[in-house]
This record gives sequence, structure tokens and C-alpha cells, in this order.
Amino acid sequence: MTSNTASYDNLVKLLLVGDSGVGKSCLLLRFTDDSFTPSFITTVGIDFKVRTIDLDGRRIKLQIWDTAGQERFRTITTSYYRNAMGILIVYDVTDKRSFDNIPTWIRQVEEHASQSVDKLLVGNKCDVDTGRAVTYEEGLQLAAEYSMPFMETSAKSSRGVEESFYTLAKMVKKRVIDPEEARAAEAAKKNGVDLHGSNGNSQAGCC
Amino acid sequence: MDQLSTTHYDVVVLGTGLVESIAAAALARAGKSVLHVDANKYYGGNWAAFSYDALLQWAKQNEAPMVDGSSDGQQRPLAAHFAQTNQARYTNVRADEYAWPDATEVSASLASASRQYALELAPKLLAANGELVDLLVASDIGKYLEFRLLEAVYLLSDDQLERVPSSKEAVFSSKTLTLVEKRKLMKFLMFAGAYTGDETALDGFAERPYADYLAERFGLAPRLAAAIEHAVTLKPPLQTGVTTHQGITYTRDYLRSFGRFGPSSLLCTVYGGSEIVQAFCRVCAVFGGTYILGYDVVDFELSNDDAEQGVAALSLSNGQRITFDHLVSAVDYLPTAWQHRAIADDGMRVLRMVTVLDGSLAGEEAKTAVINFAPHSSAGNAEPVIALQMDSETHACPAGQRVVYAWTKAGDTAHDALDACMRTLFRTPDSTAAQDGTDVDQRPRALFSLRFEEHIRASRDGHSDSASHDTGASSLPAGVHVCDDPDADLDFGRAVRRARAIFDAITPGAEFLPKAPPVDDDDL
Repeated sequence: MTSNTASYDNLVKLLLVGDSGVGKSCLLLRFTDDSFTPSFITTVGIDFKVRTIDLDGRRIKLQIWDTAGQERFRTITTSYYRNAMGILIVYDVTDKRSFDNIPTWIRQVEEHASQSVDKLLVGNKCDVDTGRAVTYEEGLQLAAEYSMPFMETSAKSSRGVEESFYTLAKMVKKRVIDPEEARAAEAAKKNGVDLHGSNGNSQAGCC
Repeated sequence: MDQLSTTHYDVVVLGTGLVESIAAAALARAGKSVLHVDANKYYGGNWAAFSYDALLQWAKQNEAPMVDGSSDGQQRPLAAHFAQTNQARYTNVRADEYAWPDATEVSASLASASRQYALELAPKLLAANGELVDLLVASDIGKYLEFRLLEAVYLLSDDQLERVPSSKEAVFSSKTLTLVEKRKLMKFLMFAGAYTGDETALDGFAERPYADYLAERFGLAPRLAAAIEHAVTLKPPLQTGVTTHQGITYTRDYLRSFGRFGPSSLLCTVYGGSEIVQAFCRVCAVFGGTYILGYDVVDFELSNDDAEQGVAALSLSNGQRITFDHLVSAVDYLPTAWQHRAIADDGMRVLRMVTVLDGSLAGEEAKTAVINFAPHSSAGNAEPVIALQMDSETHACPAGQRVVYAWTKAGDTAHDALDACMRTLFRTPDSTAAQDGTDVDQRPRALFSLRFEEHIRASRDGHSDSASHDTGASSLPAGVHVCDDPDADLDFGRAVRRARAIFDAITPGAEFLPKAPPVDDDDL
């Protein structure tokens, strides 16, 4: 890892939400540390994790916040959602209830996060052979209802994990960072001096 | 209702006010298992901030506290019981949407923008050098929060809002001060900034009124002396009879806070103080604390109701029985039998008002401000009145509007005094009637206001403010620690001190909220 202070171009704040036990922390640890702990542990000690990724030549530092277990009794603080740019809304494909609760989570997000926040629906634990309770098609359909993309993941096998975070990061980049950059480029053009360009209005200056 | 998988905790914390939340965070950080419960579905208790709709709902519930078994499931059995005693927190709650000619429009715009408001029950600012800022910095918890510098401090003087210069630079550039006044003021500010607390430096004035000292020793005119006493100070805003020693200490602390984060001694919390509560709760959760909101305590088991044994269990509204070693509780959750033993008798009663305005104060563009109405100001108030203005930069309200919080000591004349002070800032349909059409009223219009009286219930333990808290002086069962209500001060200092005393009593010698281990960050 680099140690200079400007090791990234942009900082992007992402959040995880969804029922207890759907594997939010596992997804996060798989993505940031490439590790997986199979035993069920409730979230203790994870505030947020960071990973810097490269998107179209830009160093994007993802700061990904976990719920700190406050989802268990639906007691996530409203301040958790502040300044979030992208949100992964996660359910467990083996747990129908966690899927049925997705609309409630979306309402929470709509109520407390900024209106334009990018959202991605994630069905986790897709590695299971038996015990699947929510089909891929059901996930896809629900995501379509709320006009958001959908992916299935397995924090255990790491399938789909990279793709999910990258997809969300790209959405945020397209919505937030690219327009900013375009504006900056536009502004730079306006005030820039092109020594080689032929400027038609070059009468200004010293008389 | 969901069930907890663990039914014994080192500490159960009741209420998510600031004192409770700081204590909860510190205890979890120190390795204690913590269960943090709030009967409301929101964080903050008596320190909460609300959307417009939620504030109306709060007002409705508190206008007529229901006794028990209400059908909406919102009312808390214990608190309702509590409300019948003279220790109730809120009384005389009244909400008004003002009827302007375009009334339906106003009402609709308030409701449709409901979520753009963060209206606080106990608005406060942070002294830049105060205990809460120090704690947020030392613990790193400030990283969850955003602050803005307070822009302006005003004092009502001869019916005018006078902006009080709070720095040496501002004194120099002031256009309302004469050269001689500037020189006298500078001399005083230099002296106050260097005050060591050695009363002999005060030429025998230490216990005499501060105003006398400013006039006699530094030759400051009454107008300037009042500005110093009431607006260049970290004085608790409702305190009167300030001695020279107290006053000069408050002024010194104000001056020393100046410049720590920029040209202001005070900081505003973006989205309000309830964010600070939530930041501490997050830390508690990160360190393993369990959170349940919307669950009430329906029963305490008083195994032996004396100071030796006390409670060791309580039952939640989901039917679960929870045992614990220590109980940290907001006043509202205490069994009625404990009230008088737990709460100091002389709790102050305060009249508060929160008003939404449709624009900035006449001729004043400051977005955030403190407005002081010294006793016997030209508005005619006998007691001090303090007002705090917030705007959209602190997310108190939508852009273009302002929120003004004001408070004063409750009493027979308090409502009239408060109204008179507020009339200098904004107009209501009633106070616009005098207009004769030739002189356009520049004051912004009040769109909505809520007023209520509150009883500031302080624990007997913390009340003495001495170092020996929790020595059983409260005669509560051992292991029970009572958290104070938000007070009438501008700053949060007392809440931090109380939380710390509770922490020290439960975990003697442990470090109070050290920084968390660093996140594995690639740019550190």
C-alpha cells in the first residue's frame, strides 16, 4: 500500500443495509480484506473499512460503512445515512423474510439518505445448493420495481462481490464525480491560456 | 416483538439522551457489555431533534399526556405515570401555525418540507474550547459530525440588534465604538484574557457585581459593560447576579475559545445536537453495545429497596427479564418511588420557544447567531432571555428560512417577556396589526412556533458538581446512576462531566473514551 497522503483522487462513502444475519459484514470483509469467517458473528468492532480501487484511471477510495449491529432492532441512527453516495441493500437468498423486508429498508433509505443516492440490490449467499428461498428472478423483479440494478453474491466463495462494489462505485462515479470533473475541465478551459492556439479575439491586452 | 439473545448485561442504559449516550459509549469502549434502551422510536430523548411532522406529533403527545393504556402504543407507561407528578419534564405545551393571508400555502410548505427541518428540544452550541469539543477530538468521535462556526453574537440595545465585537480585530474595525471606547475595551480584553483566577488581581471586586467592576475599574459605559457581561461570555445565559470573579472567568473562557477553529468562540452542530447523541451511540454499538428503541421498561425488580442491594433486574415491554450489575438511567425511566430521592429539589423551570421564520432578521444576513436580551433590555424583560438562530447551513430548516430558539426562566411574566423580546426579531399576525401601511415592516414572519415549559431535573449526585459523585448521597440503590436532563446552558459541559462521573463510578481508573484503534486505512 502506498503511504503518501494523496493516494486517491476521490473519496466515496458507501453503506450497507439489510436485515441482521444476511452477511453484510462478510461482504465487506471479503471485499476489503478478502477474508471470510463462516461462523455467525454479529457485528462488533467494524465501523467502516476502506479500499481504494481504480476506475477509468482514477483512484477512488471507497469508505464502506457497516451497521455496527444497529439493524438488529431497526435502530440504525439517522446520521448513519448522512452523506452516503451509494447504498448496498442486502438480503439473504436463503431467508425469505430478509427479502420481504427489502421494501422497508428502501423506505428507510428514502427517508434518511439523500434523494439521489445510488442503490444496488444484493442477494447474498448464492453459493448454497439447497435451501434457496428466493429465486434470482424474484430478486431481479423486485430490483426492477425500484429501478435499481441487482446482483447475487457469495461472500463465502467471493462470487459477485467485486462486481457488486464496482458496479455501485461506477454508478456513483458517473453521477457525482464525472460531472464534477467535466465542470472542472470546462472551468479550466475558460481560464486557461493556450499558447499555441489562435485566438480570434486577441486584441485584448496592453494598448 | 423481537427478543434479545442475551439477558444479562454489565450495564443497562435507559434513555438515549446525551449523558446516557456518552456514558454508554465510554462503558462499551472500556469493555463493558451494554444494553441501551429507549422507549421512543427515535434517538435523543429530551435532547432530540425532529422533522416538522415529528415535532407536531411530539407536541400533541405532550400537550395532553395520556395516563395509561393509550391505543396508539406510543405512550410509555412509566413516563405517563411520571407526568402526573410535579416532576414532569414538559408542561404547557402549545404549537401554533400562524394564520397569514396565504395561510394554506404556508401550512402546506411546512408540511411538504417536513424532513428538511431539524427542530431541537434542547438547542445548544459548543464552546470551541469546551469539554465536549475536547472529548470529540480526544476520542476521534468528532469524525462522525459536522460543525459550523457561529457567525454573529447580538445584544438588544435601544430596540436595535447590536452586533457584538468578539475579537480584538472586530473591536478595532467597529464603527459604533469611539476611539476612546476601543482603547478601554482593548485594555479590558487583554486583562480578562490573562486572568489566572487569582482574585487579588480584581482589586476587591471579586464578589461584587461584574458590571460595577467594568464601569469603575475600566471606565466602560453601561452599554459596553452590558455587552461584555451578556455577550462576550460563556456565562450560563439565564444566570443573573454575576460576580466579578465569575464574570471575568466566563469572559476569559470565551476569549480563549476564540480562534481555535476560526473567528468564533462557538460551534453549531449540523443537523442539531441529536447528531452528537447518535455519534456516541454508534461508538457504543461499534464496541458491542446492543440497541433497542421503542421498547419500554414495564417493571423494576426491587429485590430490597435500600442503598445496599437495590435493583438487579427489569422487564421490558417485549416480556423479557433483563438482569444487570449497573443501571444508568434518564430521569424519565425511574420508578416514581425514587423520584424525590434521585432528583435535586431546586431544578430550574424554563420557558422555551422554537419559531420558524420565512426570512432573515431585518437587515441582518447572519445565518447563525446568538441574540442576548439582558435583563431590563429595551424589550422590557426582567430576566435574561437568550435566543439562538439557525438556518439551512446547519440543516435546521429549508434554504431561505430561519429557526429561532429562545428561552428564559419560567414564571408569571415569562410569556409576556419572551413575546416582547421575540417581537423585536419577527412578527406574528397579531403583532403586525399596528402597521399603518406607510412604514413597511422589515421583520420576517413567523410561520410556526412551539412553546413549552420544562423542568430541568438534575440528579442529586451530580448536582453538587463536586468530584465525589455517586457516593450514595442520592440514597438510591447502589449501582443506579441517574442522568441529568439537558440544562439551560448554551454549552454541553455539564452533560460531559456527569457522563464522566457515572463512567468513573462504574469503572474506576479506566480510560474515558480513548481513540478507537485506527481503521486499516491506505492513506494514513
